[in-house]
Amino acid sequence: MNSIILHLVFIILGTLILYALRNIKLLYIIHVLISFLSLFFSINALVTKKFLIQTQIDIIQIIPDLFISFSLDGLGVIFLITSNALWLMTAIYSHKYLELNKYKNKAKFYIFFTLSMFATNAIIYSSNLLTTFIFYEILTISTYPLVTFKGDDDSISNGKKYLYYLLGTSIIFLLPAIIIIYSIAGTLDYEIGGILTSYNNPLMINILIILLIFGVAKSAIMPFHKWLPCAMIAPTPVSALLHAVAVVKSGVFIIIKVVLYIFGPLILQESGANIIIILFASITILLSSITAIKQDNIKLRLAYSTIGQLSYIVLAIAILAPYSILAAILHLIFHAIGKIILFLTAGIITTGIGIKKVSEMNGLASKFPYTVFLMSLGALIMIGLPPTIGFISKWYLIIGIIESTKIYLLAVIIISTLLNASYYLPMIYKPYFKNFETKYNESNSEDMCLVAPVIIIGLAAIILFFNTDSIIMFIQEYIIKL
Amino acid sequence: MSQLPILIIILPLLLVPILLLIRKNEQVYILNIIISFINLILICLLFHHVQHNGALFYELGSWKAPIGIRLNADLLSCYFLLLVNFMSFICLISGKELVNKQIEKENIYLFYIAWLLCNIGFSGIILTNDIFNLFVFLEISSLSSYFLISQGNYKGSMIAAIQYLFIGSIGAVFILLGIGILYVHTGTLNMSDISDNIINAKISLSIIFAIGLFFLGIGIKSAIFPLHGWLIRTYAYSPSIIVAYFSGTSTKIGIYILIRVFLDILNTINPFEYYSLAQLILFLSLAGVLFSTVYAIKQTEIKKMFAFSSVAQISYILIAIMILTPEGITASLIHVFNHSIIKTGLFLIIAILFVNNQNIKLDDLSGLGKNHPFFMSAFVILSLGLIGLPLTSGFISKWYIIQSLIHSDYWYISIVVLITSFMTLLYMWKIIEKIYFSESINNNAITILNHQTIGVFVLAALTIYLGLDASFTTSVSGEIATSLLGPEIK
Repeated sequence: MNSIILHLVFIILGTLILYALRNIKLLYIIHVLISFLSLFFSINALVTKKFLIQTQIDIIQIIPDLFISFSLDGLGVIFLITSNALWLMTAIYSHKYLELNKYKNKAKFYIFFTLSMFATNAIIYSSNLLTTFIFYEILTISTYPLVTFKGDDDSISNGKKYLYYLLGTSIIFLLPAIIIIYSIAGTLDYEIGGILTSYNNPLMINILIILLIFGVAKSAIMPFHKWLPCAMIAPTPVSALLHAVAVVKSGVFIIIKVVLYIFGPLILQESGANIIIILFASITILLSSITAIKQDNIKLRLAYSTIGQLSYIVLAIAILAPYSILAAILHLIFHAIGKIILFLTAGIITTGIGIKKVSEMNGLASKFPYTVFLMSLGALIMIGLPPTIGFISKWYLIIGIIESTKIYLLAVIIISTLLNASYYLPMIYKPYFKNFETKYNESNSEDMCLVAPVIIIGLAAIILFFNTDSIIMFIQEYIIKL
Repeated sequence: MSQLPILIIILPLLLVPILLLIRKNEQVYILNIIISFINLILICLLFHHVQHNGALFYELGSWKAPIGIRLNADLLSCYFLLLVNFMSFICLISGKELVNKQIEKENIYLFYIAWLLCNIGFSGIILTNDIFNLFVFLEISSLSSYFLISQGNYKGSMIAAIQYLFIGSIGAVFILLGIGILYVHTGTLNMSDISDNIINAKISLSIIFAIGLFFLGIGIKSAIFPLHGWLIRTYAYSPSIIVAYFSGTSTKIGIYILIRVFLDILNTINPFEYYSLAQLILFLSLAGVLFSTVYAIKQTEIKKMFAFSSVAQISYILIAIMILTPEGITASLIHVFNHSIIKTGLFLIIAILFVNNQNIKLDDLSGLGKNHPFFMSAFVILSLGLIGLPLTSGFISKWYIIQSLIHSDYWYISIVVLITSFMTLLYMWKIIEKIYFSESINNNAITILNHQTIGVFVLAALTIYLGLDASFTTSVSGEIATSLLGPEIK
């Protein structure tokens, strides 16, 4: 059997096993095992270089001439390994987290978590826009029970917003866009250079681009970004893996794929449609950063930061210069790593001492030395300061901007970096240089079981900084010529 | 093989007097199931035959066409025949306990006989090639429907039945008048003959009047907005199993007559062109979609919510028909099939859960997800189908409807369709939220028998199957559309 099918079938089987064994106590071990093997499958795909053959497997014909079909390309491999590796770490983290926070119904959590990751992997593997759309919707539906996991009124109303935003935009904008593309091109397959190359109607291309960036609301481009703050009601592992990595990056991943393999850079540049994306992305970057400053709740601040960072990726891809595309792909990985560190450490602090606000973080470094250090690392990645990986992607983004002669975009980057710094630096400054407030119970401390996976991610981040070359080489070889 | 069309009608019809003599509830029920099953097999055979050998005509008593009565089994007939009889069969299997609980004991056998007669009427409407017989069969099905509706043990059941009687009769009279006028102009009642003769007839005002009468009659029958009032009342007050049965059949019969009369019999004179009837219906349906979706959102009573939802879905079907392209017809036929399955499934679930409640409020569903997780998963699947999410049959319909709209001159209507299909999410999710997140309030009394759920799960499985592999609905609908409007011109 093909390795792609094997991988997807394996995760589905894993979900079924989790369901079958839902009453046993050691369920988390199975979950960790599933995520580990899933990572193994992803690395296997990289090592055996199966993605080079680019064979497309058709599963079933849904609509005449339109199949659910899978294949893997270089871009897919990168996202595949990133998300599955971080899934493993989150899986290890979530057991202790759920236990310490006394969540009930852990089986439900693991089942839908695995199901969400199945949908994510299927999005990565999908080889045409219809397949992507199908699993995009499945991802929304399967994360819904996680967003509403607590089951109180707040999570239900937030979950409703989450669902309405994501399903609504995909029904109202994405579906017609796909149907129009299908009518024009007669196919929905991702092809290098795009499938709309011979279509000469700038107005229609512009309309389609607007439909697509609104339709893929998982990329959280304003004005359809509200679902992401709403989703923060979920337990931290969900916010960390799904709403900083899997779900939101799927959105961005789809936009990258659509830009590169459906429209093709050429036609976007000719029709000027990329300016529209740049416009929306820039506005989102600035507005979300400003909103983030106003947020005192750690998770909400991180959420608004995510919205901005996602738009960095979208902006980078829309510039369409080779170096900016490189920056987009790099940032896809690096933001995932940085943001997951931030979320997981925020979860440790909330679990340990109950602090949920930035303003209450004074002097935490003495109680949570590792956690605060890792959080600082994550914050530096987000700001984009050396020696962290965030700097590298920003560097290439700036090169790309200069290359494309859209110099005015530098202003957006500089302003947003300053804004980023202004809301991330307090998260470093307060724990280290303010005094601990004694109103909190002194006996609480960080739980090493929670810290360990984050340390691994942190180490990976540091190692990656010194080994970016290998990733860049890979991208250069398999995705885009620099 | 050539006897099949008449067998499908005559076998159950012969059974009716036998059943009247038996008068035992249990036996009547079993015989009813058996005859439905045999009918279903016959229909499958007929379908297979027609698909491979083309339309099948049966001359009653070997009298040749214009004089004798002819049955006509073409692909369009077979498609609807299969749908109606399948729905009837599914409802019969799941409905035994519901009927026992809801219908007075001495009436049960009559209830089943009326059901059988109603179904004979539907089958007859679909199979006949004689426009007057169509009216006769319509009356057979209507008369038995009145009885079926009146058997509800709610306060409003009788009133609903009488209302249905009056409005249905008015609709039937319109159709009868239309038939009369056509007869005057063409001198025949045979559908194929009418079709041939009407080209030569001078298109006078009275023919146009007949077209209008036909439309009004069919509009009432299939609850086209704004003639949908009776449907809401009927769905709210009929015995619950009958609601499930009618939701998948009776309005679809209206759609069938519409397609048969306007796009087959009268197609040669393009009946929709007069006074831009097509546009009129199109925009009426558009208003219908908006209006009924908004009303569905406002409802707190489940049956009425679903009833309004049905009106909206019928409007989708009409919109797709009224753009008058082969693609549109294809889309509408696909949606007829898919919507019947989904809506019957939803009503069946409601019927099984609340047999004797007339007023099923949203709150009554609280906590059912915890008490009956497996059963309610079927509800979720069917809801997702109604919303039109991928991997359900609803998605296929939506894809085709929107595609046909975008390819037609009325592309802007697709915006309304998309927005209202999102609004479907709003009201369906209200229910799902209640089912899964609210604490249950004395729902423990609800018991679900295993064999009742079979029908529901068959329909849920079909919803998924037709979403994964739509080759059956799409190919058959495509063929029918081509045969009606000619091959697609691009």
